[in-house]
Amino acid sequence: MEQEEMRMLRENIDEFCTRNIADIALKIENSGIPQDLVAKLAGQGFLGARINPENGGSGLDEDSYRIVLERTARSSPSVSMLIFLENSIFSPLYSHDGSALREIASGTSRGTACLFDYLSGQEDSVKMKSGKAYGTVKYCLMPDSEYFLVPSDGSLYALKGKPRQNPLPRLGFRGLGYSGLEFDGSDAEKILENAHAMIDEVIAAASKDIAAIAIGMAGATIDKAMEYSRVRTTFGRPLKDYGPVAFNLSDLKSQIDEARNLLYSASSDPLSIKIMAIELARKSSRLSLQIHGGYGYLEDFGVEKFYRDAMSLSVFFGTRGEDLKTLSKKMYGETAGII
Amino acid sequence: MNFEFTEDQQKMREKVREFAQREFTPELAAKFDMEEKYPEELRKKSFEEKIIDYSDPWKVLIAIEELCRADAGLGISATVPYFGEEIISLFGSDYLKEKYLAAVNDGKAIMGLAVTEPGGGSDVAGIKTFATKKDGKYIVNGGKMFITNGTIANFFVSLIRTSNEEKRHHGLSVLVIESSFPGFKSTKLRGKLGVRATDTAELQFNNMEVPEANLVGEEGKGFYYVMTFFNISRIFVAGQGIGIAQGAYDRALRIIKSRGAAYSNNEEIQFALADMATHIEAARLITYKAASFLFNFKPDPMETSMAKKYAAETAVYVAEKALEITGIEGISSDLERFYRDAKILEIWEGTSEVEKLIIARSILKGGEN
Repeated sequence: MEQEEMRMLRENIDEFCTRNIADIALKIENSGIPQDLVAKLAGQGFLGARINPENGGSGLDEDSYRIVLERTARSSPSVSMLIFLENSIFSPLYSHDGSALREIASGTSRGTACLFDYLSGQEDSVKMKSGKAYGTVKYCLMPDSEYFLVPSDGSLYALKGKPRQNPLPRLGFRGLGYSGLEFDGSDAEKILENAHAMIDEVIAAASKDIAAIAIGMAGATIDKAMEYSRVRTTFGRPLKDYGPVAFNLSDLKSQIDEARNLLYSASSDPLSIKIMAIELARKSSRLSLQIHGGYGYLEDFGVEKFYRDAMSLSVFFGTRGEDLKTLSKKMYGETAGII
Repeated sequence: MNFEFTEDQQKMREKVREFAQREFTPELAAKFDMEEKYPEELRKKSFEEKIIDYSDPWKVLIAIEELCRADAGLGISATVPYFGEEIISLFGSDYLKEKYLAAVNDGKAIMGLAVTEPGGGSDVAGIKTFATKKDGKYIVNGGKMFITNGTIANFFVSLIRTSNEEKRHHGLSVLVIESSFPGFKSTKLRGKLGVRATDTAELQFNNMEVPEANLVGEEGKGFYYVMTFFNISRIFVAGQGIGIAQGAYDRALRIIKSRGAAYSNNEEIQFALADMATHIEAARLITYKAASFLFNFKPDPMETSMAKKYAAETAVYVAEKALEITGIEGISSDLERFYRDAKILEIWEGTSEVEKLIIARSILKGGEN
């Protein structure tokens, strides 16, 4: 994608976010993403960004899609995560059902893939019997969805219906909800045999998408801190005049800019970018919160959510340790780091 | 050099641990965190069971550690009714001790410390809230920010400007302000990242009349009194840090062990556990060293700041590591609360940056070892 096109796309999305998300970002954290915003996201083609146009999606190219993720994450990581879950995770695993994808792209339904139990090595506890699902999913992001993809006995099933929710502590992405699920006879359809390889593939293919969210969060939180450091004074001088403040912020900002360049470079390694971007999101949010002091600790300033979300993002789709194991295997060309 | 606590102090640790395990149930901790509500009943219970025993400051430090190890929000809430007491006990008149401290020590009143202002926390000498004298009273105008116990305290020891001196800190005094004084207003601050059971508020003083007898010590000495207090309180904040770090570590270890030997034999996990345990031990030692100076009436501000800074950073470091190695299971458990709670320690009672300034100035002022 040409630089000029990318710039224009960024500006358009930023304008959309300023008009539709920025002012309600706190409300999203506390009460979820309102349906009228979901409709607007669908109207912009974001919810079906990577869904084939035949199925009601906008069929965006990878770079454009990642710009959508990055820029929306700046205002609301929860909104960005919604777009990500539908396009990077649910749709590739549920590509055979055009009508469901149309519902997702239009914002009339939501679909979530309950993969955290599988990714964290837990036993499958949802069992299928005569086309019905019974049992519990321990961890589910976006539990208010209409469609649930659940691995069981090596296969992947699509479940419909409203399972009972067991609320969990919600560290990050509070706008989406997070809970355990109890299925007691929901309709279940097997959509994939030997699904583990496919799930792993989908997660691996999403590395740069996750990096886009992380870079959006890192960039936003550092920009907020830089802005604050210009106007906040202590001992009679703006914070930015103090070396440790300016140096640390400048250092991180330059690293984020470099990571962004790598993200949109076709030759960069997706997993490396993911690891780097998540680390930057964590470091940036911690520094930003610190620079904002007591105000940063309050939700009103819109900084603390990045601190929570960055940590959540760092464990949702593979922890740093798991990613490094995969990276080591690639770098060595053989299994490494297993002891 | 003796690294052992007395039998009496050990017993206190066991007693507080038992209290915290019994009273700080996971459901209760989650409820008060969610609702951002001060646990008044727990405060009363901790008072009745003499969880905070001022007869031995080591016991207070031990209690803070153990309570925060169970839950920082509830733990700090149970220990904070006395916040700022040392300023009156060290520098206040008998009248103030009798009128105000007696009620706090009887568990009948809650107090708070009001120093930080909306315009600045680290620059304590930059305080703008002003008091003028009229007819034997102070008339106070201004406001305070991020005040612990702000909507529940009966009174506050507050740092206020009583004159404009060339050296800004020479114009500051401490006044005892009752929340019942006309002109006093407090507004609860909601939406904190962590320690949500603790009460935090913004205070406003509008032509508030304060009796002259409510001046603590001498006019113009307030900055000195508050700094003396911080050299005490920071030891206890370091205790909060040790407690939060230990609590996060306990939970991570429990999860790791539950996954069996195949998981805990992984060196990545083992190194993380070793790093966490080492940080906690180092934080404990530096805090106990600074505490031993203070409790023997030889406070060393540099040691105190090192302890507060290091223990706060340890709490954040250990909570982060704990979530890293426990992954989805960790962030879906009460461990996530420790991550949110820990961060405040790098901010309140002197940010880590302020602590570094104190340490650096002490180093540069001192001679070579």
